Amino acid sequence: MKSTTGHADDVAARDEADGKILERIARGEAEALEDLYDRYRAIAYGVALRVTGDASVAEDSVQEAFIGAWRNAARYDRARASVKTWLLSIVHHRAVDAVRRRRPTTELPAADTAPTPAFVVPDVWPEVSTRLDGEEIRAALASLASSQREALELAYFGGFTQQEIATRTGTPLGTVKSRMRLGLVSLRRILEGGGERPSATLLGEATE
Amino acid sequence: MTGNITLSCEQVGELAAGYVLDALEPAETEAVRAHLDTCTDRHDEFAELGGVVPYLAETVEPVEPPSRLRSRVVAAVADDIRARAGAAHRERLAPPVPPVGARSPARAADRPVVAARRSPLAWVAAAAAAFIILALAGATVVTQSELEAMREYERGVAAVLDLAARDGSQTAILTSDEAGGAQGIAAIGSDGRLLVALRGLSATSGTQVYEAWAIAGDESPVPLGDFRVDEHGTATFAGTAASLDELTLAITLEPRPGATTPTMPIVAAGKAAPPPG
Repeated sequence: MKSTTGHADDVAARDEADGKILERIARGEAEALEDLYDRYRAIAYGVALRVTGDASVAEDSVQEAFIGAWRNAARYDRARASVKTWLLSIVHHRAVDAVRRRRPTTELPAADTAPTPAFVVPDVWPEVSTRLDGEEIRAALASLASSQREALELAYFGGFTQQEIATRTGTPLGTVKSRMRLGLVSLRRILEGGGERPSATLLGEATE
Repeated sequence: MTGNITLSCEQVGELAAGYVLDALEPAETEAVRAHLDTCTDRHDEFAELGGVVPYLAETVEPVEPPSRLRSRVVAAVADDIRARAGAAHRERLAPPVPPVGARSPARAADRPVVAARRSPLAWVAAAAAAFIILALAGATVVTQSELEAMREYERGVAAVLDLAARDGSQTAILTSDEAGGAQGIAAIGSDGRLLVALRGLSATSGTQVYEAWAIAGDESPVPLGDFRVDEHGTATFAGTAASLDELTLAITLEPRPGATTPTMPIVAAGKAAPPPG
C-alpha cells in the first residue's frame, strides 16, 4: 500500500515552492523564470513533443509558453490551480496552436496568415485531488473504454477539434462530445477513487 | 469564423468537455468564454471536467530538451525586459497615445500599444489607435465581427512595433500612390522574421490574393507569401524576408496564388530601413 500522506506532502511542498517562484517572477526577477524553467522544462518539452510530434516546433512552443508565463505571472491565481497546472496548460495551448496553424484544413480564428496568434492564457480549474502517481494515471487512462480514451487522446494529444475528430473517426459529432465528457467523468471517478475503475452500473450511465 | 454566436447555458454545458480540452472550433471557444464571463450560473461542469485535464499531462514522459532551449528562453526574457524598459522610457518622453474610451477592445496580451522607440513608427501607432477610436465613435453599433477585425489589426500593429523595437530590426511604412489607399507598417527582425499590418485594402474575392514582395536593389521581386482580405480591409501577415539593405516591400493584388512576378499596379510599398540614429 502506498503511503498517501507522503505523496500529498510532496505535492504541497512543491506547490509552496512554486508559488514563491511565481511571486518572484511577477516582481520581474528573471532568475526566477530560469528556476521555473529548470523545474518544468522536461515535462513541458515532453508535452509539447507529444502534441506537436516535431522537436523544433516543440522547442518553439515551450519557449513561447515560458515567455507567456513570464509576462502573465501577475495574473496567476493560486486559488484556481497549481503553478504546474497553470504552466502546463499554457504549454499545451501553445503546442495545440502550433499544430493547428500547420494543418491546412483547420479553421483559423482570424485572417489566413496572422502574426504569432495573440497570446492567450487558457482557463484552468483546480485539479481533482488524487493520490495516484503518473504511472497509475497512465493505467487509469488505459482502463477507459477505448472509444472514450481515443476521443480524449485525439483532443488533448492530437490537438484536434471535436468536429475534426468526428470527421476523422466517421462518428457523429454528438457521439464525440458524449465520449469526451464520459471519458473525463470516468477518469475523474478513478482519480478520486484511488485507482479502481467504477463499474458501469456505479457510473450510472452507458459507457459508450 | 468569428461571428455573433450567443449560447444558452444548456449549449455551453454541452461544450464544456470540448472547452476544457481545448478541442472546440475558435468561434465556439470565443462564444463559451463570452458566456462564462457574463453568466450568473455556476456552471460547475467546467470545474468538474476541467479538474481532470491536468492529469492528462501527467501521463506524458518527461523529455529533457536541448540545452540551447534554455539559452533561448533566457535571451527572450532579457529581450522582453529591454523592450519594456525602452517602451516605458519612450512613453515618458513622448506625448501619450490618446486613451481609448470605455468601449475599447480588450487587449489580448496585457501590453498597451506604445509608441515604438523608432520615431518613424510613432505616428503610425497613434494613427492606429486613432483609427480605432474614430471607428468606435462613428458607429452607433459596432458588430462583433468589426470589433474582432479591429482587435486583430491592433494586435498586428502591436506585434510589428514589438519586432521593430528589437536590436537589428528594420522598419518600413507602406503607402499607396492614391489618396485614401492602402497603408501599413512592417518590421523585419535581424533573424529575418517579417511582420506586416495593413489597412485600407479592398476585399479579395474568388481566387484573388494579395501578395507581398521583397525587392532588393535591382533584382527581381521575390514573393514572400499571400493573404486574403475581407470587407474590413485590414490584414496582418507574417513571413520571412532577408534582412538586407535597400530592401523595398511591396504589396500587389494577384488574380490567384502562386504568382512569380507582381501584377501591376502596386497597392502599397515602402522601403525598409534601420531606425535613424
